[in-house]
Amino acid sequence: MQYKLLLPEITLAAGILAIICADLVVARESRRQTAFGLGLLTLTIYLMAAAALGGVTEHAFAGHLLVDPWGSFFKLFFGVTGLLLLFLSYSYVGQRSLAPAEFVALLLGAYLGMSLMVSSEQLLTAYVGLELVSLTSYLLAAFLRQDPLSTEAGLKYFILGSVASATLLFGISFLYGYTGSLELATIAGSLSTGEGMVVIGSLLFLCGLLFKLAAVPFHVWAPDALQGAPTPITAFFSVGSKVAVLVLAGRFISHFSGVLAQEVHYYLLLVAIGSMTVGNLVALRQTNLKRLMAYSSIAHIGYLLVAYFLGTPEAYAALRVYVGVYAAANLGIFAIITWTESQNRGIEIDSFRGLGRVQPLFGLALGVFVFSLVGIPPTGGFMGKLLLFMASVQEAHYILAVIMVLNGVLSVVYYYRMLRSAFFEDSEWIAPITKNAALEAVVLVAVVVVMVTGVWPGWLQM
Amino acid sequence: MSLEQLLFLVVAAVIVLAALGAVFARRIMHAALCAVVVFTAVGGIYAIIGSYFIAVAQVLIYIGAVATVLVFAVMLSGQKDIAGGSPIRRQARWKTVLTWAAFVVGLVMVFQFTLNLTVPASGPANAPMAAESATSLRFLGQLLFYDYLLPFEVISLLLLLVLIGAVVIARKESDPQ
Repeated sequence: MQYKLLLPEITLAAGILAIICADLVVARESRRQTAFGLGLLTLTIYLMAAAALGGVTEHAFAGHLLVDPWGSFFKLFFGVTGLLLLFLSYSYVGQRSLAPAEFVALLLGAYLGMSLMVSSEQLLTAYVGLELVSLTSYLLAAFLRQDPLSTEAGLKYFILGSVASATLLFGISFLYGYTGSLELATIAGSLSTGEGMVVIGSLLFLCGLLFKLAAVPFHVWAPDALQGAPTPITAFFSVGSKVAVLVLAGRFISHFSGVLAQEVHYYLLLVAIGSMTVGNLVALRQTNLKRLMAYSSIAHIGYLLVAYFLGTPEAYAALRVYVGVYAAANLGIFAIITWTESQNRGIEIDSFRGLGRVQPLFGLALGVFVFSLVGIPPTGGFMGKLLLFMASVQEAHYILAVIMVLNGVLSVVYYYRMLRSAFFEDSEWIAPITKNAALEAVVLVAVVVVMVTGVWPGWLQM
Repeated sequence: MSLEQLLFLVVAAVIVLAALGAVFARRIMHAALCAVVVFTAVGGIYAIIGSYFIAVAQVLIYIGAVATVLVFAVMLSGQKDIAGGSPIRRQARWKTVLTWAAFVVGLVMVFQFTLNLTVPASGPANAPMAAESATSLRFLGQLLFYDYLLPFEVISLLLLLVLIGAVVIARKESDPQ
């Protein structure tokens, strides 16, 4: 029965509807608990359904759905990050009195889109999934209605994102016009060499995806959108939607690697190196934590694109480890940012002053995450970078490897500023410090993931 | 040049001119009306290539619904001119010129490419999908509810979520949550 293969997505859709309906009947005081509780339940069932389909490789729905281990890995990834994000945003939504049911429903809607994107090799379905992610993302970015920055974020993201979608569709129409099919396998199969129309179509399609990834030179929207968006949503942008786009780009590139090797692969390399370097260089000058993390995520996207440029099985294995660790460290840092923000400390680097004294757990965890993002052993970030580095040396791309290492050194500078602020500078914390169990749980889980991957990266490759 | 090509060129010219009008019109109502012309002319393109059903759907949806809502929104907003149209600053001017130059060069390159292309036999233009089958409602319905069932259903969810999100964003501050 083909609906069995769609079980994770059906779960999400049912969860969204349940959350919206439940919101209409429960008392006002318990609306937030209900929405988040149902959200947790939905994502847990989603995780179980995705795990149950772990080893399956099968097509369904006239080729629109492809369930395979590569996609299932990312569904599990989405399930876990989604659960952590709900914990991350619970108190934030309460503090700002945002509409809880709508918040959770939109977030789960984005996850439904991401889930479709990673399990389709049919361009139309993938595009619908991408639009589902994009439209809910625009809305979530503008969710703080009283905050002009948030409105600006949503509007900028919406206008520029629409241009990207149009570019992508234009590319798809070229590919369809030439081959008469929307299936990636059929498109790739009916080509012998890199014909002009296919090259244009592929480039337009890739440009659209790279735009959504905020890779250089399509990155200018990202810092504004990520700064203005609510903090948990900023976290979602950097570990959720971008990863789904990355997987779609990977499916596309891996199908066309033979045909377009000459034309497209070197653009990809340029974009990867550009993203790393520009992201790291501009991050040096940032003082706002969210902007800094935005540029840092641009740089990390650069590293991840290297894996696609290489295209070897080792590189893909490295990608899994890198994405897993990067997401954990990022979610952890955003949990700490959410906490300092909730103590009315703002979201500047200086807000971390004295963090190591007042909240030693968060201080230490911040150290772990920063080490991981830089790539210092024994954290998981080191493993991710090492595997990627070895994969590029294996393919005799020595200069690329050197550039990657230099960029790692560059990133030490701005990540270190966070640690210096937390440990070596102090300031009064005026407001009484409140603990937040949900955020502490997120930080602890992230620390465990980062440290375990540091000694045993294999668990992300099973 | 066949009659079909001539028709296409005329309609395409109308689309481009009206689109430019929509972008450059000073009065927002004029821009909206230009958009209506674009919608209609796009329907004309569908009719020229023989997709009569899509042409009718285009007219019904875009003129019947989208354009009406557009004009309503313009009238409700009560704004006559496009406000905030500050002149381009001198520093920014070269950037604008550069962007346009890049855009034009890109367009020319795309044209150059497309002119030299030949659509292979497998392309949809030469596919055995005959005109009558493509336009028949039965065929379209089968496509929508068998082959394209999954994206079709996902789009319904997308519309629901966007509707909810739009209400959240646009709701008045004072409204109780």
